[in-house]
Amino acid sequence: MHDPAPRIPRMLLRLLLRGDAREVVLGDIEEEFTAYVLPLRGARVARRWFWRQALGSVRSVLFARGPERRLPPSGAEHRSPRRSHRESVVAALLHDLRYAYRSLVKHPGVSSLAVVTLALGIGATTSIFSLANTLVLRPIPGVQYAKRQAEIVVAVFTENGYSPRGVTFTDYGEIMEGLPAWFGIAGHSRTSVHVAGGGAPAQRLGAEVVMASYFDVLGVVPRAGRLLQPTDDVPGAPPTTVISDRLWARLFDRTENLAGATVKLNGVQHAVIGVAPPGFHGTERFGDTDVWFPGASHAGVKHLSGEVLKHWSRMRYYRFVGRLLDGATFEEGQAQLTAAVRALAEGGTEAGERFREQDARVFPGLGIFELARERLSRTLQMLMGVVTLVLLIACANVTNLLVFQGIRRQGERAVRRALGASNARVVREQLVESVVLALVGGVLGVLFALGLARIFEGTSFMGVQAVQNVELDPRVLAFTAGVSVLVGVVFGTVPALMGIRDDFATALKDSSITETGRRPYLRGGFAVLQLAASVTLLVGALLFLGTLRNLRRVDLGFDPDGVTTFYVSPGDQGYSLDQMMAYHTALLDRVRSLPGVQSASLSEGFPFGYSHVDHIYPAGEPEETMVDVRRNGVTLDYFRTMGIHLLGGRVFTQGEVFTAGGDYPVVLSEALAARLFGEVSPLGRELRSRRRYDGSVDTFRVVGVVRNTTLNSLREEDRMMLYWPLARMPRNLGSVVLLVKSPEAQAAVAAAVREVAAGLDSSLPLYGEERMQERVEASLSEERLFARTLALLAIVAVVLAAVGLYGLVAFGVAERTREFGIRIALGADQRRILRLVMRQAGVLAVLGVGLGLAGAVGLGRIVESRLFGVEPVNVIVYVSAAVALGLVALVASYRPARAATLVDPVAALKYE
Amino acid sequence: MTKSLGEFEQLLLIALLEAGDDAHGVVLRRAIEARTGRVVTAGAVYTALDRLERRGYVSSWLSEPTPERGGRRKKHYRLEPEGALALSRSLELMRRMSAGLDQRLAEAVATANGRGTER
Repeated sequence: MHDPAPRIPRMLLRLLLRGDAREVVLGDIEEEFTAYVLPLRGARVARRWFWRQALGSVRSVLFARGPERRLPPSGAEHRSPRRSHRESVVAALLHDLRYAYRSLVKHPGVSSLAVVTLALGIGATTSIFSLANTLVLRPIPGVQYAKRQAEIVVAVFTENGYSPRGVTFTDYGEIMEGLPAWFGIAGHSRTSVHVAGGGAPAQRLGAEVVMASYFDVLGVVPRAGRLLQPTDDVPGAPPTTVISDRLWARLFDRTENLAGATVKLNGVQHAVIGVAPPGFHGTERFGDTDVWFPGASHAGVKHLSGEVLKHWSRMRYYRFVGRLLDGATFEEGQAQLTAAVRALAEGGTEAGERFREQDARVFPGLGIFELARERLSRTLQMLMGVVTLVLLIACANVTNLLVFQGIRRQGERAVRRALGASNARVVREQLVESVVLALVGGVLGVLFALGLARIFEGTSFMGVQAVQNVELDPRVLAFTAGVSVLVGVVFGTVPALMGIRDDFATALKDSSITETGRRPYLRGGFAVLQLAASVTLLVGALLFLGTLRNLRRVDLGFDPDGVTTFYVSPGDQGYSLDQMMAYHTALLDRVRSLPGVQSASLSEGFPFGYSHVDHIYPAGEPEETMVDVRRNGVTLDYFRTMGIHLLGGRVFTQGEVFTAGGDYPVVLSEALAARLFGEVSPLGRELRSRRRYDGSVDTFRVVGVVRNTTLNSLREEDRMMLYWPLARMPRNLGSVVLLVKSPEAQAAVAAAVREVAAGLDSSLPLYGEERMQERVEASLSEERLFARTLALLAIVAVVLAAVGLYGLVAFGVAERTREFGIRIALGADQRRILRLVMRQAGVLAVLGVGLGLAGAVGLGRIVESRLFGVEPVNVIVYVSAAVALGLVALVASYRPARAATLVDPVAALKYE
Repeated sequence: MTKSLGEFEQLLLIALLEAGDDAHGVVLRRAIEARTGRVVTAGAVYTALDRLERRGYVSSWLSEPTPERGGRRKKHYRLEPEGALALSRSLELMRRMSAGLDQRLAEAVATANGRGTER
């Protein structure tokens, strides 16, 4: 059931309130939410209500000022003698917290500016850390002995990668003989299978073919039943399988007794002997394996026979997991493996020949594809470096703000010290204040990181579906809390020390008279750099937003609206060619007659999902004139379903589609027709193509021409496409695409279609269901990622630059209070003072924008190839970014500049 | 310790008086919000009542958890004689101070409003 109450504020309450208060306050809010607010005012308002109640309640409860809790102004010094030390420390801390809270609330402008700045810095750091946590740090569930695990690849290694070479069982036995450092090594190989059983509808799931020792090597303990044994993996053994915990729940409702439990894998009955522990889905970090079966079952599950089986005669593995014995090192393990492989290679056997160039490499640790690891960790380090820099800039800016505020609060401190507050106390209070500020920033930062994760959801990171969700596991939260405290201390130190030496502030002011310039330039330079970075990033973001917009406007040549795509692979189920054709005909007939279905078709592929390439040439011309084209085998309704208009001639007839043999009729896209025949009508002309697998030449007759469609990318201009009847598919093609067009709700149509398929063969599932529209959108994922990343960085940079400029101008104004006092006393009017201060800010802004635009030219050059329909050096974009930043600079410097005009000349001069 | 009641505390005690036996946070909060139009948080209600309880003005007890409260317990409150006295003293004080001043106050408010609209 969907829970309408927002999770985050509830978590906040649970986290921050204790005992009675938590029980009663949270209970009250929950009760009122469900009983009154939600039913009477709707989910949106209710959610907002919940947030407000939660935040307000936290404030009231934490900062309650009861008579019993109130402490004398200087706190610890006057504590009652009955209190234990511990109590008094807590009381003093509470006092400090309350004091910090009040003084932060007293300056809402500066405080919120500081909090937002810190939140951006801490949030960015948190999200990168949680990425690293998901990718590298988090253990893989269900696997033991993690420190002694390794992945092993047997292959011919080159500089950039490797070409895998299989290890047969015989090879394996020989290699294993010389490996005393290893507890064991087990081969595994990924595939996917149709799983049916337990009364649930059939599904296509991730599977692994494994050696019997696989689970032992990984130290995986069964959740139920038993795992594989050597006797399961011998030729002729009864087919057995191990399933994942979640599949167990779905098919067997977690029934402990597995006796008699069976599933069909690709239609072949297997006994379920055991269940893997919850969360275990193979050794990959984002593994999705739900089924494991031994190599001995491979040929059966894959329906391999005859020629193909001979080719696959023995199951071969090239990826292995290994576990070292306690005390052995990976170096020893590697050395022994290398020696064993070399011994095999030089043994003069047939296997030895195959092993001549091969090597077995040990990659310590599990979870990330071996060769990506180094690149991944380097990328993560780089990202961490970037966000640390952002965090440091945020800290520097906040320090500036607080120093400025510290100068303003000089008087307050003087009073407090006159009343007896010690140095240590003043410093401590300021530090507590900074840490509170940082912690609030940290909480906001976590929210920001969660938002970030949502933005990047579904994008893959270096080929790993990584950025699915920032999981708030304790490790990430601890990291964020630690960073927040550290950050609070880092940026709070300077303002806190100002408390000890109030002459520090005076010194700052005095130095303004004699200071000839190095530090202001330094600070000014810093502000200019921040502004420049904002401009550059803003330009980048705008360029990519333009690119996205242009790509979305590209004419697809077809109409994706209301079209749903499915895959079905009767070939995997062991269907013969005739059976496949019969299945296709029946499936199409039944789907087409479903209510609400306008049309349906089968094909080899579809736009954004083509993989097949062919070479064709006009009959009568030499084969060298051949053209590379995409091709698609289709049924007669394909063009109608996809909304592709016929421009001339005809499409296929029912007979042509499902009958193999004879002269094949083909339909060309406009672009292909023009390329092959120019202005001349292609109708009735002959084309030829050589089949790659047996070298025979086919002849086609052109019967029709259709509109161009996009192929695999919106950027492609080349739209040469050849359509032929589905029956001409290569024999070994196992899967086809089912396209269904319907104006009805997609979920309902999809359910009806799946039911039809289940009626034809209950163990053969449809899979990969997706709306055509989504596939089009998915093709833009990279551009979207670029646009979002740059936009985000630009926002962060703009905020930081604004805060930096604000702090700088405010600081400058504070330093020159006396000067402004004199000027005003001498008759300068407000406007002149304002102009004086703003002019300096203006100079910085102009320099920053100029530098930033120069950077943008460089950035444009780098990203040029990824843009579409947008000039990298783009006047409109440049002007927009410059104007935007100019406005930001204006706003950021106006407030402190305004403060300069309000300097009271008498007060300012009295300082002397 | 005699200490005058704050405005919010007065409001709470009045709400408590009105609610009678069914007084708990939700009821009190809703009553104050409905009558005054002010936004009050559950936490503020809780801490204020906590304060009043420590002064002996109200007493409370916890009841068993209920599902509509997300399995959390409910705190019931009762107005104690001391609290009633304090409230009546406080209200009486207000009444005595403002007796006979209604007319003047109305005029003063009218002037304030008038000035507001002129601008």
